Amino acid sequence: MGVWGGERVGAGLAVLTADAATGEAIAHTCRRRGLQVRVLGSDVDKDVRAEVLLVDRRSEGPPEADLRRWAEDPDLRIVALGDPTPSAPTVRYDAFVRLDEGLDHLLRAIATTERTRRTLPTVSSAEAEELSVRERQVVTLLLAGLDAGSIAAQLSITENTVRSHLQNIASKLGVRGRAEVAARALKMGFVPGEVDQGM
Amino acid sequence: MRVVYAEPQRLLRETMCEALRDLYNLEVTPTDGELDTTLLQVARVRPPVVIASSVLHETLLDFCDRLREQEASPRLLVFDGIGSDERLLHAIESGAAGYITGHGGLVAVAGAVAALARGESVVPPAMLGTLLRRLIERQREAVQAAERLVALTPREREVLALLVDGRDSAGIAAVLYISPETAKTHVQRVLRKLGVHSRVEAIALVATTGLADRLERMVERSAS
Repeated sequence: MGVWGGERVGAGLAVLTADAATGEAIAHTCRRRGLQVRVLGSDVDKDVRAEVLLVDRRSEGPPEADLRRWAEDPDLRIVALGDPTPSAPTVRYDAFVRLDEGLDHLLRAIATTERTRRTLPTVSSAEAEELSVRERQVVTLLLAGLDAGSIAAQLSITENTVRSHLQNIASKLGVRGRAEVAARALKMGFVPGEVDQGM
Repeated sequence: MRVVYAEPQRLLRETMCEALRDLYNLEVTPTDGELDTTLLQVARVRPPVVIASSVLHETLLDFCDRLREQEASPRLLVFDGIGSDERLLHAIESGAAGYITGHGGLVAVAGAVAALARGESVVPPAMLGTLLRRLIERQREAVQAAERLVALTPREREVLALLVDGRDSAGIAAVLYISPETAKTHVQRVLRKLGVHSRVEAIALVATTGLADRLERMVERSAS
């Protein structure tokens, strides 16, 4: 199958990591479960032709410019492996998989991002409707990688207010902690850093 | 070959174990990375080699000590997917027989396991230079500290030994039958001769350069 020949077909997973051993191990286990997988070194400069790109964020990854270029492709879903806090606000991640979660979680994340590709609304889902305008602004800034202090500065409110917003958001979404809020928000179609002042 | 794999991160544990089993015929027994559960599996499986995740670096010293006590006395290989000079140095100083990064792929990991089982030690060649430089540096620091120790008078060594023992000036004075003022003067001179600025630094110098035993012997010798 010409997954890597320039034409995009099938359930292609590309694993981008400097840790070749772990990349191969992930590839092997995913292949055994029916996925087509290719492991890429972190110095890759080629066109990624895959449905899902798994990016290992434990070390210095690929140049931001490469990731950004790939992120421009609306059909490529990008899943981050490792620290779920978005520290690279210029790159969109469609899902986060933590290392202390199991293989089943990774496979689910891959399957979900594949499935939601065509159906994921760029506007909010029903859950997001329940968030207030302010809460939605906080979420988008959180996704952009801002900490509570920076979010507060951006919205001209106090850090404590930001914290209480974050708590309310987490309880509305039924998740715990900022990382989960961020991961959930991504799945809901929030875009990092785009605060709509008109809302 | 039987191997026990201590890795607290579930995704890495599951994928690495399955791949090493399928592709390299290793009989891998995974553990959650806790010392107790790992020792239990080691006692049961009796593997020649134990692989420990680099995220266990805080308990690595305990791992090495306790593995040595085991009947099979398996050798420890630290797997560090990303790799760092700091963690390599720590692994070797803790007593690991091998350290391997993920850069060489699974084949390098399997190769390292086989090498350890044969009794060899494994360090990535690219990191060997840094490791040697750091070890030599530490050695030189220890030698310099030892030289400064020799420059102390027998009395000052006694004072330093009591400092390391955790005594303050009053405590030192009581042990040596001198006045607290004299004890303080001794302490100041010891600090100056060692080239440090505080008691804590003096103690740290003795501790980090492995001179505590040597200091004790010197004090005992001059006392007898």
